[in-house]
Amino acid sequence: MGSSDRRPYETATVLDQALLDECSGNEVCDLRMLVLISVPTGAFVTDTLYLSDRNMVVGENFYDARLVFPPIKRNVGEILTPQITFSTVSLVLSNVDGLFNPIMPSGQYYKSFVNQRVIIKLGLGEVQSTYDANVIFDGFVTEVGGFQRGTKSFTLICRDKFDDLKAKFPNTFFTSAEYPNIGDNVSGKPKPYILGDWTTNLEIAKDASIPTFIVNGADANMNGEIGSTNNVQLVISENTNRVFDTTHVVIQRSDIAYVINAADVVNVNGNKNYFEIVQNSGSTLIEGVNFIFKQSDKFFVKIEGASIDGPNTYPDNPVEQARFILETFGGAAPGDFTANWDTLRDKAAPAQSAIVNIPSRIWVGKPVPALDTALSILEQIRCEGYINRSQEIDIQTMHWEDFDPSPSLVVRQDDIELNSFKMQIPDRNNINKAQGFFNFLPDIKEEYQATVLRQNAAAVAAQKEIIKGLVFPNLYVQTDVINQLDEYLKLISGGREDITVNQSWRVLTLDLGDWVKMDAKIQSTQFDGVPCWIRSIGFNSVGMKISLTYFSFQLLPFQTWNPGYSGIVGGQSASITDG
Amino acid sequence: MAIGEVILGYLEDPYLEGGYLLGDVNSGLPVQLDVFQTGIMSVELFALSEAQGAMGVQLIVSETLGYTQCEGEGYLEQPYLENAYLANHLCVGLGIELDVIIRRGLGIELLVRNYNDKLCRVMCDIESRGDSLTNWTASSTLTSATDSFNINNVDNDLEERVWRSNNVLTGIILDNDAGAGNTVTVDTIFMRAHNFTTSASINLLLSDDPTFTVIGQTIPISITDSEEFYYIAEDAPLSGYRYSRTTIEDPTNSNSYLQIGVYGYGQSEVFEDKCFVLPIESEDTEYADVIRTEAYTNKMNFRARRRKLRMNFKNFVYDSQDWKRLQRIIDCAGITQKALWIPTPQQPYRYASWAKLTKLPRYRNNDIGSGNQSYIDFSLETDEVL
Repeated sequence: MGSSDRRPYETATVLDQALLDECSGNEVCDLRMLVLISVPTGAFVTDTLYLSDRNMVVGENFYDARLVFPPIKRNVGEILTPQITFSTVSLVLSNVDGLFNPIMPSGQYYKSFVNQRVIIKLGLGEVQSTYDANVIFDGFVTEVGGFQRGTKSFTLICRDKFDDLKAKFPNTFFTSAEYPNIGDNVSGKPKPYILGDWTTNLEIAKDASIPTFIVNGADANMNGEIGSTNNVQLVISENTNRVFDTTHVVIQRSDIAYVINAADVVNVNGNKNYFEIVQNSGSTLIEGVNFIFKQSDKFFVKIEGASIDGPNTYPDNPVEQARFILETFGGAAPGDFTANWDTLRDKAAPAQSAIVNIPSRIWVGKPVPALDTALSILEQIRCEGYINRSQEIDIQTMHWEDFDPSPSLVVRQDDIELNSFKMQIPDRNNINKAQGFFNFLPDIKEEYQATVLRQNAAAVAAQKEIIKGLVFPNLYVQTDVINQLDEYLKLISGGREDITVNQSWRVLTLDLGDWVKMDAKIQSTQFDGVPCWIRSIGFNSVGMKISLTYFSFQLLPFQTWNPGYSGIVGGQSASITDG
Repeated sequence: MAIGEVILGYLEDPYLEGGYLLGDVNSGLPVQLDVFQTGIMSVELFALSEAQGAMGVQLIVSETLGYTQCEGEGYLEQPYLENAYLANHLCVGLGIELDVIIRRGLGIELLVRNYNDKLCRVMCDIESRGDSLTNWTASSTLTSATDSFNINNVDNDLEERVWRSNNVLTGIILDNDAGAGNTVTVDTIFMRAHNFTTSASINLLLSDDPTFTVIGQTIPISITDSEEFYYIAEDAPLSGYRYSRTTIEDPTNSNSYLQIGVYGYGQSEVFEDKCFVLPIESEDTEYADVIRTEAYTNKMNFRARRRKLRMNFKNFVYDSQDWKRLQRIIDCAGITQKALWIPTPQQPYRYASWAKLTKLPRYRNNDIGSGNQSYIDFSLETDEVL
């Protein structure tokens, strides 16, 4: 008599949801983790250690049982607090038998472990391809305390390879080597980096907001100590600019702005980030007197910042600006990005989500992490960057129309670890009235404009008024900001809950940004097919369980998800009005 | 009986007389044979054909047996030990076979093993591992940049560190060289973590010839289990050989490769008289990651299955041969070395365990007198997970 195979994992060659579902139905699977660690040449057969928490063969390699894997987590950050966190992975490798002594200090093949690559994979049985498809950590041994050892073991502390995305920019500075006559007040400052269109929506009085830096302030023949015969030399930015409006260079003196006569703006370089102003020419008059430089003078310009993705293709597009920053300063390669970046860059509908029509600009005058800057730009258009399970830089939206109202994967009681299912209304992102502050201008060093107060009146009536100011520093068109503000209010004014839960390996293939249908009814937590959105995911080799954080949309109707529960005040159709 | 051997004579009860012995066997250079063992029913005297140059055989029972060593059994003594070289007496019991192996040499070497295939046996010193860690060669090895499937992996105690053929299922030859001066005498064979089918044709050839032109002994390996194999020789092997060759044909194997985790053979320590008392306790443990779910059922992630054994020994006579045997096992294995434990050789698969001792035994000594009048109780517990 035949019977079904209740251990399909023994013969499966593909780790997909169908297999996990089948194994989950039989309540057993064979999932494993392994790690590859680069080591100095010569000590072992290859320059890689193949290790695991068990002795096993995977593919063409034997993996030695030498360690216990720590939990490894990824997340997509919080709404309005866009910070991706990377796991710092600490691996403790057993060396009780001295196997690794040749690569320990004083060993024949010792070489510093710093920056050695560490890759952790998760897969099925001995099937190599399943591990290659599930890299859950890819990084390097850190330079600070990355290697420690005791008598029986040594420890490698590793950072994610995308940690480099946190590199700060701008990363070039004004120096006397480059500008021999530079003044002390400028020397050592970073050269600003500029993206986007800085010729519009500027401070009214000057109508020019990009500061310039005098790089010959110590020239006695320029600054008046000896004379004022030499030109004032000014640098706008580190980057090449697309447009420099020489007709609108503004000098600010004693809080009054004057336009430098275009005839006095000379020697503009090809990169449009350097120019000079002629003194005492008679062309530029200030208070009726020829322009002569004073130490307190400040100069501002109107420019269009760096080109992106080829000459002027997407210079103002926030998605492309974020990608450009990650590539240029975060060390990301074009191949690190998913195709979703192109898709969202070109998104043209609905109006509030038409990224292609939402211009953005950025002026960075002091070093800031590239990743933080990119995520901030994305957050302002309700997008989020994150590292997906394929170790790519991915992007998703918080656009209602992009959400999945009916996910195919259903989570039930038997997927949920006992007593781990918990939910909470977030402390910070629970507001029902907000004002948007936008259009950061570097000359005034703050957001220049603000929207009216907007509110979800129903939510205010249902609980109490919870007001918050939301900042959109890189957006400068008011309708764009109001659109984003309203959409955020719909999302965060409805009493949305965050779910934290440990689940079985059945959800192993899920990734950040994936959706599940929560169908778990456990005493006070009754979820009847509720769409939930994955915000963080962690892999724990002990038990091979998955730790997840979801956004619950139980009280947030959207698209076809309309449960009709009483007390619903948020969601896609919530009414947002002036407040 | 292996090819090339001839029976030169019999020495058996009650005809322990010179007429049944060839003339040139009971004369010549004396070689001392110590027989301490109880339970000798008869003596079969075999010699290899190569022993034609032997100068003679001398059998001396040099120790006077105490009554306690023949308790419950009988004496075999003069006049049934009639020849001048057969002195004193032997204890005898039913069903015990004493094989005498004659080897070629300057004189005659008699190896006497009180052998059985009924009582517990333990293989700790695995002769096939020879004197180096690289004493195997394979006609086919699966390609690996990390050399993960080297044939010498079969000498490794880790079952998961395997040899695999290079996508070949037939015509595979695994050669083993025990090393100069070493011989492998095979009364026990074991394989773990193999993937052979029950239709596989596998033979172990033993020879002193590295080219295997002359084969001393052939042992068929008949696969009955999908992961393990055990062979227990019915009779004590007569000879040891330096070289061994395993030939493998498994054309119907559903895998693309053939695999062996641990493979060893040689002589076990075979308990002769005293052994564990019933019951023997065995416990297989399946190790798995477990998630207790809200559905009040567990989701598991399989890791491994391992066996644990517990054997209780009672009234072991201090300093008896089995006691000494036990001490050799403990000295060899301790708690750090794996050994092959086969409590019931008649049903080797039932309790066989490739395991370490969980701890050294704690002896309960009933020391009622000096010397042999000391009886010891103890337990041995082994665990494959250690």
